[in-house]
Amino acid sequence: MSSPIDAALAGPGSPRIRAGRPATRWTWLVLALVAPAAFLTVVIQVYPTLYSFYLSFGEVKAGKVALVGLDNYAWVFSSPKFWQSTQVTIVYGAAFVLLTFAIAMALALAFNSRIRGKGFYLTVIFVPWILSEITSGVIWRWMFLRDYGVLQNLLGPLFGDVTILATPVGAITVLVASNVWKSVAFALLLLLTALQTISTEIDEAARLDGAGLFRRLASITLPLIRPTATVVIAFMAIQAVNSIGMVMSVTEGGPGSSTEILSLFMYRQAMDFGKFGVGSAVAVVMFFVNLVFALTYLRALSKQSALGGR
Amino acid sequence: MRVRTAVAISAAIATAAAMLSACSAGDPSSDSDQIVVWGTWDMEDDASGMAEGAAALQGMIDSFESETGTSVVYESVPFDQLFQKVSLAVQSGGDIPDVVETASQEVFSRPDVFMDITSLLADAPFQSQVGESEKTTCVHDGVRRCVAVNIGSTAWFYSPSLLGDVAWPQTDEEWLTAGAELKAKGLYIASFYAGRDAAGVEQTWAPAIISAGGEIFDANGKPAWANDATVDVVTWMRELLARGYVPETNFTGDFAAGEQPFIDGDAVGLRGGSWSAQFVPPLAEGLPTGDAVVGAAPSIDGGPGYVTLYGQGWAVPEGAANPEDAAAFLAHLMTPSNQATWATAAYRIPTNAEAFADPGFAEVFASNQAFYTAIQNLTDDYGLVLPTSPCYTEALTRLGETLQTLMLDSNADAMDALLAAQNEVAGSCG
Repeated sequence: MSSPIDAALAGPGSPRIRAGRPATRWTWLVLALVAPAAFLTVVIQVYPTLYSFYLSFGEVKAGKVALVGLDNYAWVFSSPKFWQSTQVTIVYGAAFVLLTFAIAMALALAFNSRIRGKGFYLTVIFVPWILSEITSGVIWRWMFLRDYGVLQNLLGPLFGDVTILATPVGAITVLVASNVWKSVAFALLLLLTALQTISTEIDEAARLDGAGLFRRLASITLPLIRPTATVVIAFMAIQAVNSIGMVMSVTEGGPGSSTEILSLFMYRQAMDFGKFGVGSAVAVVMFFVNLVFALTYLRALSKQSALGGR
Repeated sequence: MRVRTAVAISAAIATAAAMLSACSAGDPSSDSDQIVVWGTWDMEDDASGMAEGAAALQGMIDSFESETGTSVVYESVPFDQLFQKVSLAVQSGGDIPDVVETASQEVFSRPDVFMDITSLLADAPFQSQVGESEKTTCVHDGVRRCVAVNIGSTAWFYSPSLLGDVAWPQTDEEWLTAGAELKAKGLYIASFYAGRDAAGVEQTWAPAIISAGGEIFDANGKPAWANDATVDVVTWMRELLARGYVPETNFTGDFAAGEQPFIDGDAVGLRGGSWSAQFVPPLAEGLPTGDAVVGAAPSIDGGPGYVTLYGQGWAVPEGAANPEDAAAFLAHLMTPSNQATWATAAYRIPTNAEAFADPGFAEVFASNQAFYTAIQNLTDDYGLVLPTSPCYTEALTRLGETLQTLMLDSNADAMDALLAAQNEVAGSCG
């Protein structure tokens, strides 16, 4: 069975690569073209990742690493703050992924129908996505400043004139809302593309058979775009675990440490407190959490390819 | 074909090796006629309150270069990132500057980051001219790790016109009484920064806790804040907040939020620093005319009203390429005329006694005598340098988070929360 690369190479005049056949000039060209990207991947991603694993078993002082065995992991797993951060990450991640998916799905369905001004609305929705995390975070923080924040002054009185960012529930709600606001465009783009590949005839047939909107959504639309939906959910979950820019600029992990998610906990241990070994141990834990999502993502991606892009 | 392939692979390996070696840590100041200096003053800034200090430092750099022939490469780093940046550079063996500006507490909290410069500066002329306050901030157990070009402290300012017939409170009970009277006039008694980071603890919480007879660290530098004095201070602060005598932003906002109510005229007092006139217009305008004055810091449970002492310190990081030239630069910053320039630009007190005789500073001192005298008295009588700790930043950050949580959740048990935070940090401190 030939791979997509084989197929791509099998253009007019290009030799096929088959198992057991000696490398041709074409093979060397392919390797040469791939080499720069492979080199950069090794230098920028593989090496730092492996070095993080190494650091997680050590303590860094004056540029030298002294190995300490599993001490860093023992400290991390016995730290109440690590578990609190894990809990915050789960709550924040679940809310972020669910809300982003739900809103993006609703918008994708709306944009998939004939509505006027679609281009304008899509542009507006895409603006947050192109802003940097810090810029977006500062905007949200300013909107919730106690004395001058627009949203603080609108919403604060509804909840007993509290400072919304000063309450743990309010802070995490603002954090989730700001991240959903920023990320929904990307999810929308993927879901809309998937929806546009569904033949209108199937939906039309179901409608004629008397299926309502929710029935068609549950029985036709969602099953047909399931690989893309899985990609979106896995991608958002990875983003939630790694998210740090928005957290630092919106709440800085506060009030107290009520919005300190794992990535911020890791950053503080390494950068603020100089505990690179502990920070690396947390990074390794996060790596394995992300690995689960990444494998799900890759699996969904391959299914999507098999289904022809949905 | 094979030869060509071999050549191509060799070239690729050579390129990769060159790129990797370019990425490795270099030796930025191996040139012995050059020093690299990191400071908080932005030389491009000619508009903010720090412009005067930046110009003063530039003048000192110029004179050092012309007197010694050593060139200075200056890099501006935001004040809240400088300590972290130099710590990371030293710890990771990265690009290490020769001289860094730093607050004195940081120098002794991380002796592994800052060099022992006792012998390098043993013969410097300033050694016989500086007072005890300089040595308190930069010399511990006979080891000098920095020079303090001037001394400042946190300070409580108030506006006599807003205060009216109410006396500026000195004790915790007087704060509650005055708070009620001022609230009736629609005013907060004071705004201050008591946020969730190390600075909030250093500047507001720690002086109050120590005033009440408590401690932050024990003699070994281990966290020891879970004590009755801290609980008393939390109870007092909760009372001030719950009764609406102080704004909530004192505990939830940033530095600027801690100053804003005073700037807006909504708060009678401000806990700032001797340097605050650089940034707070009502102080810059009011201190020379008496429309703003320095008041006593709160005394809790009958203890002294402490203020936190800050030396504007300069130090040499471990691993600096040119420590001798770096030490010469520090000595240059400490000359009487340069100290006079610093003190004028930064609203602080020179540490070199001879700087008071400098005509420029004498004139500035005379024009704002009440302020300078008050700050000098505060630093001499109530100046507090927090004990050092191997986990200084982590401990104060954790304490700050805990105190913020306690302020925002009035039902939380203060001692339980303080004890949990203390035990958690103690486990990895040392």
